[in-house]
Parts: sequence; structure tokens; C-alpha cells
Amino acid sequence: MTQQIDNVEPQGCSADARPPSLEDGDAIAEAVTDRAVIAMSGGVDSSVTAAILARQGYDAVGISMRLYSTPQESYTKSCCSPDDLFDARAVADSLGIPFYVANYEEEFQKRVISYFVDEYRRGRTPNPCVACNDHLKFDILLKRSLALGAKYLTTGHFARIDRSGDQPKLLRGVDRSKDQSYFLFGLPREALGRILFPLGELTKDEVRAVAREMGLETAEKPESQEICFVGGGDYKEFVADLLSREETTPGQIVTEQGEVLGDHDGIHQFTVGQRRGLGISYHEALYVKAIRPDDGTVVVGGKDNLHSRGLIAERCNWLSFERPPGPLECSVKIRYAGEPKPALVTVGADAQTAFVEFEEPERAVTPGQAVVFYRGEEVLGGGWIEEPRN
Amino acid sequence: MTKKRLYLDWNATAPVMPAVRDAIVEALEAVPGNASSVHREGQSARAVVERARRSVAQAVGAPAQAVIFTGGATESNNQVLTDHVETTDEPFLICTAVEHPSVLEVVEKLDRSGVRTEIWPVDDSGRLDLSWLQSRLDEGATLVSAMWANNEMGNIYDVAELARLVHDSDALLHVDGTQALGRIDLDFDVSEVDYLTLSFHKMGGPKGVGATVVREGLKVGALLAGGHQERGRRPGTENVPAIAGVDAAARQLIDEREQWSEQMEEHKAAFVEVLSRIEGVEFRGDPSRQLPNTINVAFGEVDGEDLLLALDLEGISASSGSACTAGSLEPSHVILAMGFDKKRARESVRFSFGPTTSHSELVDAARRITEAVDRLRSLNADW
Repeated sequence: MTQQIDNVEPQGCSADARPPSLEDGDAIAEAVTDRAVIAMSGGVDSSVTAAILARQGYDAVGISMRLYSTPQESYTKSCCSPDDLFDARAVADSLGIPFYVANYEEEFQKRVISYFVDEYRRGRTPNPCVACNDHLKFDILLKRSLALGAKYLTTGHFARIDRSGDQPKLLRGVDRSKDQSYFLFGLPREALGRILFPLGELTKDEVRAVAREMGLETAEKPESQEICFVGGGDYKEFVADLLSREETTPGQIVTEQGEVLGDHDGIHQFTVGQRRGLGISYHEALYVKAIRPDDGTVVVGGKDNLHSRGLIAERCNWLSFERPPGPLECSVKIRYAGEPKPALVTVGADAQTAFVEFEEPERAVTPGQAVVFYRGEEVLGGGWIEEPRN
Repeated sequence: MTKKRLYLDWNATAPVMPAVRDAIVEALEAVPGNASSVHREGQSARAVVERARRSVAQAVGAPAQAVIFTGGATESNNQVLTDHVETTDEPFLICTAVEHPSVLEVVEKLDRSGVRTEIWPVDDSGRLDLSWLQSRLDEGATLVSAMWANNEMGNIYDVAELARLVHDSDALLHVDGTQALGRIDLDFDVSEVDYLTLSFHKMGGPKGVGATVVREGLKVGALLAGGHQERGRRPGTENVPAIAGVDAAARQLIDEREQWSEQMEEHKAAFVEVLSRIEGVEFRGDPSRQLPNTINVAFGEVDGEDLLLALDLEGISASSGSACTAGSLEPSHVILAMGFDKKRARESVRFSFGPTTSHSELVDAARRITEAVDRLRSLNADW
């Protein structure tokens, strides 16, 4: 679907097509060759990204995505609230770059929020950040950027793209505590040539330092941690509010031996590996082992039974090759936190399904989350966890 | 070498005319007084205000005492509608579905407070059905609010005809003339309008000043309490420098309006001619009765917001829908009221220009628009 992306000749990249909004336009005009759109959330990372691009002499254009409505009077700490968009606008203004807000509420509702709720309804644990990257940032925003004559879409992700070979490679960010490559496995392979991640070479401390040095309004802004559209509240309540009564699946909480420990009023409240909030007392700590959406059964067990030897992933996306040439000895991450662990990955005939065997059993393989395949620094690809295998 | 910017968003606001700027600067420098003061400085400030009142009255064919200076069209619209409800037994308000939010939202608010109101629908060209109005007048409608010309698709409404209908039923007519001023002939007396709202910044006057024009014998109360200014109908110290700017704008309008209209009509035809060569182009509104400076157009399958951003980067300022607090765009309520679905409403882009926009600028703009549409479409196809 994206084969032609490299053939799209960027237009308006020549100096004479630049907007006349840069104050010292003539001085910069000689250095500028390429237009680059920066996805600006109003946070410090994307602010510094924009500052770096502007300083490098790109014909920089800031765009904020408006993804959902928040009541005007509310002040949320997460991104994309009106206040964050004002912050983004203030940064763009201080950098002297054009800035726009793009309304993607409908797409976000369909591609991220509905997906988020659906996955919980089905007893799975969604990853909305990956969905947002795949469908919003690196699909419609990338297309819009190209339509605006940009050569690149730039984001503040902590990841790198190695352009030394024929095909650009996605690499982990050098700041291991911030590396966001896990969330990027689903990018269209053809899009890598059109994306810049300038923060991938920096640590978070360095990013803050650049922000302070450049006097950016957002330099001291705190990190956003929660899921942005849940807005600091409880995601279970958020999901419950969006599910109709018929869509919640109540059921029993049972041990692996079949002992019924109690009832619950909806599987959307559970995640594999979860210990807290089960609402039952037992003589040992219990963890969610499996969720069965058909009859609403939540299977719990002790800590020892949580590990799996492997998993099946579906809807795989490959970044380093069209499809793996054979079984891959690589390392895998099954959640954002932590380092990749050695595993053997084999794929089905269509390269969409992957069978992963861990070298050491992994704890709490969670259906709905992403599994991402690494070789050293490089992200080979990834997929969506369907189920654990033993 | 950057391309010259072409400002085609006059219906949002217009560049200030040089004579207006000069008049404002002169008033700031030479007229320090409060127009209510007895001393000389006060007298010269008063003279500025009264001179402007006569100019505005002449510009719209009304008596000078009919003109109340306000803080803008939004305030004037609020003033007329709320005053009518406060002073009328069994008020029943009608406004068109394509009114500016400063009418529509007031009507909605009054409706929530229990006042009887009804919204007058338009057809897919934005036209009004007079028989619809007649039936509401028969049911006892007391005030009808309709704009002289629409801000988004440029339709001109037959105000004299409306007045006849409304007055035959002993109701009152309020007309928002904001977008019509300086573009077509406004004749308050001849058209028998009861209340007229004016603003001057769409035709090159200053922002933050407007006027409510009220038929002789009708009363309109103040929105705010606290001063005798404007015969108690608009308390607050007069913004003398801005009113001096209004005077300059109105005088220029009196001298040149006819010529402006003719010239804009010609330029619009040339602009439309180039745009109409684009495949799938759709002009919206009623071309037989439309402002000479306004074009609302959709290019099939091209999102208006996409086009707007692309054009801005190419140096052309246009508009599409209305911006929310955060600055992103919602589809125009006017285009939605004409029966287009959200997606098609989002395709609408408005170009609006003024007397100082040249023929060659508009032809150049139309070419750049054509290129931008082509590029957006080719990208859609590639993906």
C-alpha cells in the first residue's frame, strides 16, 4: 500500500516555495533544502525536536494533532489538551515556524479509542500508543505531511533510523531508559525513509538541557505517564463508561484447578499478570493467568504458574526485510519495560503469524500487547500477541 | 525568493485601509479627551464621535440618531435579541440556520431559558423559503433575525422582501449587515429594517467597534449598566480613536462602494473561471445572489483542512469551517445547515477578498490553488 511513497517528489521544497513567515528568511533560504513537519504535542520532547530541526535549517512546520475533546475548563496533565496545544503553539511561535492544529478526532476515536475498548471487552490488554503510531502519526499525519510538500515527518520518539545502507533501519534510542522503539514496530517499512527521529541520539537529560539552553517554554514540563485520552483517571472506569451493559462480560474467578473463588462484573477490569484488585482473599498471592471472553471466566493462579515458554503473534510487521529469510535467532520484548530477551522466532507461510520460543520462560505473556523482535540495536519487526504457548 | 502572500480571508477580517490607520493615529495623538467631558478636549472628542455617527448613517442610508456605537457586531446582535425578549410580551424569535454564532447561540440560550424560538432552515444552496417564515409569522413570531449576506457562502438575502413580510404581521426585523457592508448597497430606510448590526473591520475599518442601528420610534436597551453614553444604550467611555477610524472607513465607502462592488464582481468572475477548470469542483451557495467578494468551493475528495494548510505554506490565506479553542477546525455550521454531510462539509474552502485585491493576484491564486489540489489528489491516489 505504500510502495509509491518514495516516488512522491516533494514539492515546495525549493527555497522559493517556502512560506515567508521566517523573519530572516533570506539568510536561512540558502541553507534550507527540505521541508520537515514536526508532530508537536506540547511536551518537552517534541518541542526540542522542533527546535533542533529549525536550528538545522530545515523548513520546519509544526503540527499538533487534536485527538479528542476535553471540556474547555478542565486542566489535564496529559497531552493533546487545549493547554498542551497552546504550549506547542507558543514553542512554534518562539522558533518562528508555522504551526497548525489538525483535527483527527474521528480517526482517533475509530482507530484508537474504539480499539482500546474493544480489546478490553475481548479480555485482551490493548496498546493504544502503538495503534496511535500506526494509524495516526505514521499514516494520516505522514500522508498529510507529504501533501504539504514535506520530505520528512519528524517526531520526538527516542529511537533512531540508520540511513547508511540501501534500506533505512529502525534502531533503539541510545537512552535505554527512554527507548521507544517498542512502540514503533508497526511503521510501514517504506515510511522509514520519510521519518526523522532526532532525539534518538540524545538522553532525556540532554533533551531537557537543550530545552533550557534554548529557553523553550516547555523545558520544565513534567512527563505525561498515563494513557493520554484517559486523562489521569482510572482506565477501568473509562472503559466501563463506554461499554454498554450487554457488552460487559461478567463471570467467575476460578483457579486452574477449577475452584470457584468469586464473581466479577466484567472481564475488562483484568489484565494477565495482574495481582491487585481481584477482590478475593486467598491463602497465597493470586495473579490473573488467563481471561476467557466466551464465558467471562478469569483464571487465577500462584506466582509460579505465570510463566510461558513462548507465544503466538499475529498481524506481524517486518522492518528489516519483506519477510524473515528463515528462523530468526533474535531477542524479543513482550512489554515496554525491560530489556529484550533471547528467543527463536519462526513465521507462518504469509509472514503474518510468528511463533516465538523464549530461551528462558517469560512472565505474564499478555494477549493484545506487542511483541517486538530485535537484533542488537535493530528493530527487525513485531506483532500482536495472540496467546501464550507452552 | 519567497512568494508574495495573498490574503484571501477578508470575511474573517480585512487589512486596515490607510485612511483608517491615519485617522486612528491622528485621534490618538490629537484627541486626548473623553467625549463626555465639558472642556475643549471633551468637545473635540465628542465631535469625532458625532462626525462618525453621521458618516455611518449616510453609508447605510439611516438617520444619524439611529446609530449606536458598540464594541462590535457580536455585542450588537446580543443587544438586539436580549432586549427584544426583555421588552416583549410572549416573545417568539426566528433566526436563520446560517446566522453567525453571535445570533444563533444567543437564540439557543434564550430557548433554553424558556423563550419560544425557531430556526429557519435553508435549502442546499442556502436559500430561504418565505412560506416557512409566513407560517411562523402567522403563529405569532415577534422578531426575525436574518443576515443581509452570509459570511461563509456569501448568499445575499432579500431584506426588503423580508421586511415587507415581517411588518405585515406586525413583527420586527433584525438584520446582521456585517458581511454586506462595503460589498453591496445597504439602505436601511428604503429596506425598512428595524434593527441593523454593523461591524467595520471586514471592509478595512478597525476591530472592536460596531454599531446597532435602530429604526426611529423603536427603543433598544443597554446590555450593560453604568453610564449614559450613546443615550444610555451603550454605557462605557467611547473608543474615540477606533470611532475616528470608523468615520474614515464610512467616508471612503460612501465615495467608492459602487466602484468596489463592480470591480470585485469582475475579479471574482476571473477567479471562478480558472477554478472551474479543476475537475470535480463544486461552487457552494447561490451564485445568482452572492457577495462579489466571496467564493465557497469544494474540490471533490480534497479535505478542506488539508488544502488550507497546503495553501498557507504556499502563501495563500483562506478559511475552512470555524476554529475551536485549540485551533483545529470544525466543519462549518453553515455548510452543514445546507444539508451536506460532515465529510462534504469539511471539503468547503472559503476565499474572500476585497477592493485592493488585484485581478492578477486572484488569477495567480487560482493557479496555485489548482496546483495544490492536484498535489493533494495525486498523493491520495498514490497511497
